[in-house]
Amino acid sequence: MSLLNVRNLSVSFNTADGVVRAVTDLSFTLATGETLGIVGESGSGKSQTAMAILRLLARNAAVDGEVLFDGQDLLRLSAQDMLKVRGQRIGMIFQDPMTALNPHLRIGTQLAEVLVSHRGQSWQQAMAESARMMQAVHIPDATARLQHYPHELSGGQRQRVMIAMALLCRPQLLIADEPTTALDVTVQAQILRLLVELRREFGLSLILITHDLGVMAEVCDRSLVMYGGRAMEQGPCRALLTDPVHPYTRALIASRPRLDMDVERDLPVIAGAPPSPIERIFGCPFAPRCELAFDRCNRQMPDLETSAGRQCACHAVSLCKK
Amino acid sequence: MLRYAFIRLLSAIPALLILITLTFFMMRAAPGGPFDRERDVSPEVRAKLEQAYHLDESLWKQYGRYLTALSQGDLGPSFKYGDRSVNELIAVGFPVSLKIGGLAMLLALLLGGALGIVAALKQNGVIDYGVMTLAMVGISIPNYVFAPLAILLFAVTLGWLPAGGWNDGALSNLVLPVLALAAPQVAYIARLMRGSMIEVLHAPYIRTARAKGLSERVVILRHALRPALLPVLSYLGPASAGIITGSVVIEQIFGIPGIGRYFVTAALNRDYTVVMGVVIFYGVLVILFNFLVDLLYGVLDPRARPQ
Amino acid sequence: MSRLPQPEQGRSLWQDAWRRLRRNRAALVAMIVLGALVALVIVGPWFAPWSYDYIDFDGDWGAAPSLSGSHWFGTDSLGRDLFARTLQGGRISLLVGFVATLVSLLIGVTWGAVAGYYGGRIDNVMMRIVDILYAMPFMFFVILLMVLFGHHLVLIFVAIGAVNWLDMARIVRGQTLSLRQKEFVAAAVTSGLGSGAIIRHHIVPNLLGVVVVYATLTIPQVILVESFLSFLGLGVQEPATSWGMLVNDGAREMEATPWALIFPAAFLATTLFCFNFIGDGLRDALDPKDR
Repeated sequence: MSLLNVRNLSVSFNTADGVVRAVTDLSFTLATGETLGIVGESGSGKSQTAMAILRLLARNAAVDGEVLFDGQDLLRLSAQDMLKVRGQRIGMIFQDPMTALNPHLRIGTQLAEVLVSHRGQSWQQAMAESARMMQAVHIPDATARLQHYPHELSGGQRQRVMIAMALLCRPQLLIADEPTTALDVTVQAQILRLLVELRREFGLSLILITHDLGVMAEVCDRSLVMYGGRAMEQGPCRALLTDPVHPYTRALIASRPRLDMDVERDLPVIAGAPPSPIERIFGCPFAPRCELAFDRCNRQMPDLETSAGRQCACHAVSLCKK
Repeated sequence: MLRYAFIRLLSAIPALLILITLTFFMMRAAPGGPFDRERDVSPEVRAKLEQAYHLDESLWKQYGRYLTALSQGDLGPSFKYGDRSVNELIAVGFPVSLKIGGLAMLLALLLGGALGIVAALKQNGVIDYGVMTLAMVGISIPNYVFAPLAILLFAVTLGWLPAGGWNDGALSNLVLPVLALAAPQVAYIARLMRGSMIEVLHAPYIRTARAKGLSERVVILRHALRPALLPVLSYLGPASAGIITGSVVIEQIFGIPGIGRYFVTAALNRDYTVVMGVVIFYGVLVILFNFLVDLLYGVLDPRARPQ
Repeated sequence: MSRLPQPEQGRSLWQDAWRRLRRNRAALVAMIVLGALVALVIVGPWFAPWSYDYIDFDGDWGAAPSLSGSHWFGTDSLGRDLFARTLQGGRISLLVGFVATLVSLLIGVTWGAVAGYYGGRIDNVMMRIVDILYAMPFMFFVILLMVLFGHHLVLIFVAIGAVNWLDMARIVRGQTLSLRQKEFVAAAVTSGLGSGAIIRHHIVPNLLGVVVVYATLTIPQVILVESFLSFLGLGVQEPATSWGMLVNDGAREMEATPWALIFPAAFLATTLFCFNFIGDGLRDALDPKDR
């Protein structure tokens, strides 16, 4: 049974410059224990999807669709009930651990308050349990660290603190929004390894949002490729990487630098820029940059075609014909 | 922390020195002495007077003399009221000025802070617009306009409160002057508080706090309030200067026997030592206040603390 | 929430700002009201039936305002026409506002641009000086200056301008520091342009936005300072007048002739109100943050 079932999710923002469409008609599912990677360029709507699931979008946002979590539609929960979902049943970690922790509060306070408000524990109990969680994410000298402020920790350690914080209440689902992007390369690998380890240990379902195909390949079972706020392709991670169908996925994989290529000469670049989120687009958002596009692509958004656990939305190529 | 305090205090010293030196030499560079207006003074008496006040010595000697006296806390005698020293004038006036100034500051902080927070939480709502319009009125109407208008309304027309006087600081005599003194500062602090609260509420760590499932009350009180207060804290220095400056006119308008009133009288009478004494006294006060604010900043913002 | 990409469009910063400013109704109304007020103050005295210093011995002293008579705002306790005096006071107040702001602008922009451009030790020393001056009760200095050197209009300009440049210097320095990192400045440096020319041609033009905003916000402050001085009797001299002085005169006689207080006070407050609204509007338009 699927833990999370997102149906026809649309997110838009009312701004002074007009309505900005961040996510359009997005559907996907996540099974218990599964890890889903959401891949896309910045502005593809992947972060807004995560924020929409937790209902943390800015006040000018309009959300449509359904987000069924354990059979419950999160979009229709009362604000009070939503508090019990956030941090308790769904944990979230963010891109930049430098700014995501409150610089004015001690690490211990920021961890323990989760247990105090969700479990009603005393601060003392909560501190002790926080220290244990800090050890679980391999922070040395955990008890002493609780007394520190975020700026006294390294970037990698701060991200570990963020992870510990998200896991304190043993959530069923963890959403990680670009958890390694702001970190050094060596630290990135450590954090990814930690996520994989914890997923097993805590029996987590995981949504990993990234623009880095390498990160996705290492951790995920299944992937969802987003472009211009829409799902382009979906399928098992390995199949997607070795045998991409959608022209965008193919371009994305082709534009990854490899060690054996001369970057200046060989690295293909996707020509053009991502679509403006303000203009209303009727066709496929990738059409203006797509080599295979024909006039129908600009007029009508292709439906998602499903076959053998894979999905693809394209007029030009088909899963079956391959 | 002690070391930090010490360094901060050291850096206040040049400010003090500049203040004293500038005041002293400006005073002496001015055309016309303090006895110029007393027409019936004969040259001999005049020379005697100048000798008594050491005005016949060289500038540097006078400066040295003033500094020496100052280091012992002595601001010298008043030129106009020969029998009273500047210290005495300040000792009499300061408690009065402190009372209205302190109350005004307290009011500005509490009311301004509260209004700013409420406006920020209801951003773009009716309350927000109301508060911000009121704040705009507050910063656009100077207190020497506000004060007479308030007297006209509450004292002359309605007769609820006395139009002026001190009456040993009775509550009814305090209401209007404190309100008039605080009004612009309430407005400034409300605008500042609102702006910084809105900015903090957009910070990533507030999003984290929300993602943890904390209630809105905890998010605001525990996570947002402290960082949002920092800009307001930095404004306390200028605010204290503003209130001190304002007290000069407010004391004048309401006939309150504080330092400000002596100051105006002295300024119009060219009573050098009193003017200078008050400038230095208030200068020291403002500099000390800024120093305390700096210290408090270090306490409130862990990143500003010396490692 | 991560930043949404902004649409790439060929609109300039100023066009964008103007578009946003026009949508800000408060700022727009303030501009119209202020424009009308300034025009009235400048042109009005030529058409006013009375001169600001003429004592009308034929009328009542302290006459009430009347639209049917010739003293529209009434007369003060000396029998002078308040309409003419209010406009005349406005001329002085606005003049001080503009000229003293210009002085503070010149000092502040130069100071800030030099500190920010050269950086390093020069910046350190210069900003330290600003910090020190910041801690001073500057209003008392202005009063001291007035007491010592007499109440000259020119001195008022200079004194107010000279103590009001600190904010401007800080803001300009911050902006210059960030401009210093931009490619076009680096390009100018490598092409061998002198520092002075770079500051004049590349730094200062790009500072225009913030400078305009803060100048608009400085004008009301300066008008406030001038009227404060005049209120204490340390500003302009009789029979010349300014709004601050009129408010002071009016306040003294307010039980007998409340109009002598209310008209100048209303003019002063309206002007300050307009400048503050315009300044706020400009800031939001040029620096669109979600506030």
